[in-house]
Amino acid sequence: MGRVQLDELFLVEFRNIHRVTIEPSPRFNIVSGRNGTGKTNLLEAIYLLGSMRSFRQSRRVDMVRRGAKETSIRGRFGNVCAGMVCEIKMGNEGRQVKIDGKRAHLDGRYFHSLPMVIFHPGNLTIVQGGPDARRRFLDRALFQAEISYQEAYRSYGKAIASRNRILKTRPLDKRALDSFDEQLASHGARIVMMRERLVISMTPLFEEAMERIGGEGQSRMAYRPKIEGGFDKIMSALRGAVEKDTAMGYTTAGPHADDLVFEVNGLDARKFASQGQQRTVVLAAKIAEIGSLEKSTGRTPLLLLDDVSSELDRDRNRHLFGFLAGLGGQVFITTTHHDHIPIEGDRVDFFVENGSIEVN
Amino acid sequence: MAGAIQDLAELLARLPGVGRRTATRLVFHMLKTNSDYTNALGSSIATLHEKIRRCSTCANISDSDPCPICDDATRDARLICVVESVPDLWAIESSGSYRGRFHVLHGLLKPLDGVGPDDLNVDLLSDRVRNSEVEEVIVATRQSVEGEATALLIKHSLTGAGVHLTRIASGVPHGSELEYTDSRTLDRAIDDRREMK
Ligand SMILES: Nc1ncnc2c1ncn2[C@@H]1O[C@H](COP(=O)(O)OP(=O)(O)O)[C@@H](O)[C@H]1O
Ligand SMILES: [Mg+2]
Ligand SMILES: [Zn+2]
Repeated sequence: MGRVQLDELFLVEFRNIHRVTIEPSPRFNIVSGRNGTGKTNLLEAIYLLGSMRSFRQSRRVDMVRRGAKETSIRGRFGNVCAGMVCEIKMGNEGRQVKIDGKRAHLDGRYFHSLPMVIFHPGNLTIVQGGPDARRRFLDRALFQAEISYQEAYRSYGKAIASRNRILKTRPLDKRALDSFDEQLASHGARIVMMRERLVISMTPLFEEAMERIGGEGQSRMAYRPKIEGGFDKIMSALRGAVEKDTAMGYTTAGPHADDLVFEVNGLDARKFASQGQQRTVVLAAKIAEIGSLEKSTGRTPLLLLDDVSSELDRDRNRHLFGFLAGLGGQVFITTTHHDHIPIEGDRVDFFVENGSIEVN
Repeated sequence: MAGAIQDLAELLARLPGVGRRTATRLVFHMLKTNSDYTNALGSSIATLHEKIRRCSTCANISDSDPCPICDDATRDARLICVVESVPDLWAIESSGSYRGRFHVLHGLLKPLDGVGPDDLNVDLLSDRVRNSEVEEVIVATRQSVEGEATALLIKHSLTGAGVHLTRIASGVPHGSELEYTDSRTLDRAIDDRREMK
């Protein structure tokens, strides 16, 4: 299977990085350095090329090096990406993206062609956080897995913002409300369907990974839509909730309120699992995400692992690296000690110090 | 620093797509042409508002009420195409093959911008359909959330009016304005219109 493979990365004025060019290995790239030197920044830049957003939920201006006006991130992707060059320029003026030198219109196809998966300590919120963290996990995977997800997601967002505004306006305009319900239901049904499809494809991978890593016995993941069923069910739920929604001033039910549950030994992992089990759940969920994206996009996603060795215990680490060895993709791993990474061949080591990067 | 040149340049710079530099260049260009041109331009602008009428049948904008399209007896009065703006009407007109009449909404349902059903000419359309020989209403609003919501609003307001309600086909790129769609695509979108459920 082909893979998303970054052959060259060129950064200018990104975070604490003044100017850097690297040529990564097609397989393993170990990025080491002391705390605060710029390792996560490097992963953030790579992730930006694939998703156009920061996994740290940073604002655009925060990513421009202090004192500089504009940052530029340019990546050349080989293998199935056939030498495609993507360049992002960001500054106070906004963002500009060029693909192969031409102004790009970024639709779902772009994200589908460059799947990337980030795994970092903040991912623990997938288990420990609220439903919004789990929806974000699904949504981010879906922007890459499904070409039309972004369009459905945006349309749903527009429809719900419009409906909520109508609900807040007095007197209530029933005609306007009726006109938007159907939009909400049709885009909402598409979102639910695609989320269900993703979870169904992730479930066996998740269960298998749980069993292998932890020997945890019965583990499950399941999508819990607030409204079960498609268009008609959502339509009647919206109609039935008009009085409540009008009183509350917003739309109470719909895929924007859905959840995803993880169970270990029949119990909700959020409430009952130990810290260690919760970490296993996150790792297994990420492994399932990679496998599922591989299937839906037809290529192995590029993997970004930020500081995970320090988060996982020996057994979980061993499992993770065993899994990585079997996966044919390109991987970037940050660590404070490069000898902590048990990977033998196919590796290039980068050393980061104060925003500059050296190859050994 | 005020003066005739600066005054005019400032007024021109308020037009969409015209920056200060372009505005200044336009003024100097006008100074070089003879005064017949600037007089004609000036009086065209000066009388624009008083000459222009909004058609009381279809809300189109032209020199007369009824507008030339409503006044043209050779056009098919059984067919009405509902558009969001006058430029969209012109786009369909110049694509050539449509021979029915129009109805201009002057906007889309946009709660986020404070535009509601009463701000569009939906009731005018409803009255018009119920009091004439119209057989089919083609909804040609763009295929975006707001365009679709507006299409539904029209559908709801025409229930029981006994007309065929159709929607232009999806040949038009998602969310884009008809105004910027090429005429062959536009023709196809109208030809391939489908029944609204
Ligand atoms: N916009 C910016 N301009 C300059 N330095 C920045 C900017 N944003 C973050 N930094 C610096 O980057 C460093 C953090 O880098 P990071 O990649 O998170 O470190 P680590 O190597 O521990 O992963 C900090 O020293 C921080 O001050
Ligand atoms: Mg870090
Ligand atoms: Zn008219």
